[in-house]
Amino acid sequence: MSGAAFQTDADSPASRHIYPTADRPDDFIPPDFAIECASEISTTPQVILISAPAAVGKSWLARDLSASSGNPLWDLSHFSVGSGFFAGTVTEVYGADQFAAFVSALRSGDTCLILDAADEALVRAGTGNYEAAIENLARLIGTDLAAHASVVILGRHDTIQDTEMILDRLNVHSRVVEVDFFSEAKARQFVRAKARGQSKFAVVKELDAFLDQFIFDVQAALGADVWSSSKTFLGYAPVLDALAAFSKIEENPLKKLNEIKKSGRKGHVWDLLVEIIGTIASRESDKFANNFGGDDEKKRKFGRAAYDTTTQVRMLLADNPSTVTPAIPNDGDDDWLNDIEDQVRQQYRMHPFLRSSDDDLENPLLRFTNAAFRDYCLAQAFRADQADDAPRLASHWQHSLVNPSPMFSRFIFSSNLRPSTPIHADALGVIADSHAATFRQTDMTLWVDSSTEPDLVELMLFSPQEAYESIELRVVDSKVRFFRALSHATVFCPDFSVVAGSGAVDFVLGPRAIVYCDQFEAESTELRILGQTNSVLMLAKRFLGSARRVVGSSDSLKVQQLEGSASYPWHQYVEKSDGLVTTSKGELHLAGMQLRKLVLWFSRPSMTSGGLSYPRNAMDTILNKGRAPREIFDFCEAQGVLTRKGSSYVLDLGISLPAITQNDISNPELRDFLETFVVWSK
Amino acid sequence: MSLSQYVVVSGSGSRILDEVTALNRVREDRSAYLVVVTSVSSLNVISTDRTPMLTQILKVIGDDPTSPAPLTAALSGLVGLSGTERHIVRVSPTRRVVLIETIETSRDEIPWPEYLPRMSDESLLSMALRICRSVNISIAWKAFPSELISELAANTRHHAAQERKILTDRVRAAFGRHSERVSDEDSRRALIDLVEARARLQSQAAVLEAHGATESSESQILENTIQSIDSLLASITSFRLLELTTETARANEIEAQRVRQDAARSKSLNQLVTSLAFPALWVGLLGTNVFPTAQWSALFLSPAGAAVAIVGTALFFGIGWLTGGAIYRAKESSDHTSQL
Repeated sequence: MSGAAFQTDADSPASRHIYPTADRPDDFIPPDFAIECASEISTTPQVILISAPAAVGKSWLARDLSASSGNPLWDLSHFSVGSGFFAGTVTEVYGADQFAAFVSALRSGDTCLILDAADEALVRAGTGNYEAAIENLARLIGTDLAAHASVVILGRHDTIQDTEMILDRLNVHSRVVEVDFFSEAKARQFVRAKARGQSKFAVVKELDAFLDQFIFDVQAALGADVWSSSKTFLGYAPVLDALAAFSKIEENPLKKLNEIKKSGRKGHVWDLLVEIIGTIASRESDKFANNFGGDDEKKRKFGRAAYDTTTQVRMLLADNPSTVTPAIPNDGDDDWLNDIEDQVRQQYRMHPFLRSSDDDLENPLLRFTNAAFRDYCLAQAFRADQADDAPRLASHWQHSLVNPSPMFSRFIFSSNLRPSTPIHADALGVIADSHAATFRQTDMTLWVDSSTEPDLVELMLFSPQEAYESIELRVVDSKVRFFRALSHATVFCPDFSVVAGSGAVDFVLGPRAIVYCDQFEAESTELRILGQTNSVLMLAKRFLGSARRVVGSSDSLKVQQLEGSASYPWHQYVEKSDGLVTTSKGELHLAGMQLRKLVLWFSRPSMTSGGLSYPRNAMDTILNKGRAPREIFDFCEAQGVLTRKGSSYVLDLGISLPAITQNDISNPELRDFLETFVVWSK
Repeated sequence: MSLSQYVVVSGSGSRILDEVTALNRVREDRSAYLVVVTSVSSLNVISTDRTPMLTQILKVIGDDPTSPAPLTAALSGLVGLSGTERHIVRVSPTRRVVLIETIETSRDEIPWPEYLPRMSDESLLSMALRICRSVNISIAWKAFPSELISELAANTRHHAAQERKILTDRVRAAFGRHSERVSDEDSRRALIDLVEARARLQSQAAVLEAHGATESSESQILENTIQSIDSLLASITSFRLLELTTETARANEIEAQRVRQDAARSKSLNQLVTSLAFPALWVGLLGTNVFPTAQWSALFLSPAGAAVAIVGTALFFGIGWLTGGAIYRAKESSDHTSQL
């Protein structure tokens, strides 16, 4: 009996988010999968766990699975899961009389539950409740193997990892299947299918040539000669979506791409994407100008100004777009003013960034067709720094249905969207969430640093491949706030409080997070620690907040409270004293963080020796601006581990780089070096 | 908390806005709600039905001034840097506005223990935001005040549970160590912790009672925790009593043993003294030269005479020893009988 055979109770509120079988999505290109445990391939697992990065189209995949297999799709993002959730919802949706038959079909594998949006369910309900829900699911499906899987769960890697651990503990046989980024052939197929869509052009001209050129440019920028080195960008669905949208509106996308390349300095691949998305918005202005002005050049110019990219972004991000007044130029005829607002609104309704069926949603971030367009608009809005906009958008961002993608954190650092003046501190939470959603094993580090100016923090993105300019944020109450996650990041704000997860149920720390602050306020109900040994290091004078639980192994989190003794739940993670005589651990960690920051600048491998090097002029400027720690730089020079060779400074510390980047003061070489530095600096 | 925080709740979510924007938004959008989190330094406001701030807000947004009675709860853990401040929270609901006030009620002599988590000034706002985000607040608005009170009670319960666990662990540790090595320090420390925790919780309960929250679940939680601590106190007091009794018995035993040893030593000494009495008399007799020198001097100067003198001395020593033993045995028997 397939899942579709069970009738849902239409009156049940839960049935609105449970589909007997989903509609097959248009133009769906199935992704490639990688199975983590190939050795267990011979047995059919009870639960298939599909892990995928943010915004690659898990929901599309879930819909396709449901449509092709005829099994029910549950959208967990709308539920507050917890103890008894699955049994209760089955009873509510299918009725008590069908409960036994449904469970029996599940156990035999005749019906398979497809559970989408496990991440949102976890974030909304917290780890404890999520665990209780999975336990309830495990009780429903039992532990006997069947011919087919009983459940498919889709989510991001960390959620799937947690789910796998819970199922393992309950002796439920599961298998993780990882959605890979698109291969080149599939990426091309994806863009072609999307671009063809409802395009006015029957055949998208020069699409293949455009894609050839785009792929070539990106690979050249990344220094990658094979697809696998650049697939996290070129095989990422939202990027391809943007390319398809671009191809749809440009009759000759290749020509336009060449124009973009010629038009200005492009530091890295995200600049190119920003330009492409900007071109789509700009084309909308042109389209409106042509419709509005017709043959009248002056009227066209007037129309273009009234519906420029800024107005589009304002409307796209407005709570109520119909209340947004276009920025109407003063030099227009009175006649033009009569209907321009209506025409702008009509044009807006057809905006390519908008998901047509959902434009009545009150959270504007849920109205976008894809994360690339959403993050582009957000970056534009934060850069514009309009009054009240940052807190409003940050608040929308924290909605459980809004899924962070890594693109925002790349866009905000791109040459075109990087703010040149300090922006509202609420942007920090959004940037950190976006950066935390980055693909696994990223080598990029987000560095949040106290600025030399009071009430300002500086944000830097360190990458071995590309150089990013820093941005500054205004802090109003000596608090820097993070909303959902802090991963692959270092927060070095000894004079600020760091607030984690205010108003949230769940907050993720790690992998690779170091926090050094005055006080750490954990305000989410639970904190999840991700990563392996010493993945997260936290140093603060005090640990406060309403958090009730820290979930993670004692190996992965190390805590040092610099004043007094640590309270619950931090006391179990406190680093034990190891009899330091000359220097305190706090001083060593502080010194370690300075060294780490210096080393991040020297991340480019030296061509002249075995150390790390950085151009001298550039480093001198960085040091003068206070963006690299001068004291440890001078110490390194005095110790002879930092030398001048030609036009570069070369750093050769003789200490393992992972020890430095993880601030692992148990490493004897690093520890000796730091102790000498502390004594020297005193 | 030094500043007021304004959270506007609408269908599009909950967001923190500045005062003017928030009030304008709620005045214009009749479907929007407002949560204001503020701090009050004076206790006088507690006695009034509604704070002037709420009256003013209702006036600005043009809302119905009628409102149900405010609810009161403790904000366990918000104790400031000194660790001695105590706060309660008053939640005043109206049709579209909920005013949440933290009020510093007192400064306790017993500081908040380091082993319990402290709230930050952000915590209350965080709890309010979490409730707003967890449900469709437009539908569940009326339940918001009671949800917040429940959240505060959950916070108090959490702290109480931690307190119980940590104190129980300390008491257990004190017991455990005593089984290996008798030491006052751990049990004395545990006892002090228990007494301090009890006094602190009692003071917290008294504050709640003073502000009319005797029926709240928090009062119940505090009462239960005090009872648990009382049980722990009873346990550790019993343990201390048992320990004292054991130590007294052991001391008595040692004393008795010492007395017994002293008595044995005295007996031996006395017997020895008694045993030496006859030989001393015998030697003394010999030394006084009472025998005629002519007949006896030759005898006593001979080896045989010396042997007689020695044998006589030994004989008298033996007689003395046996006689002394008989006397002290008779005395012991008589003492024992009189003790009975």
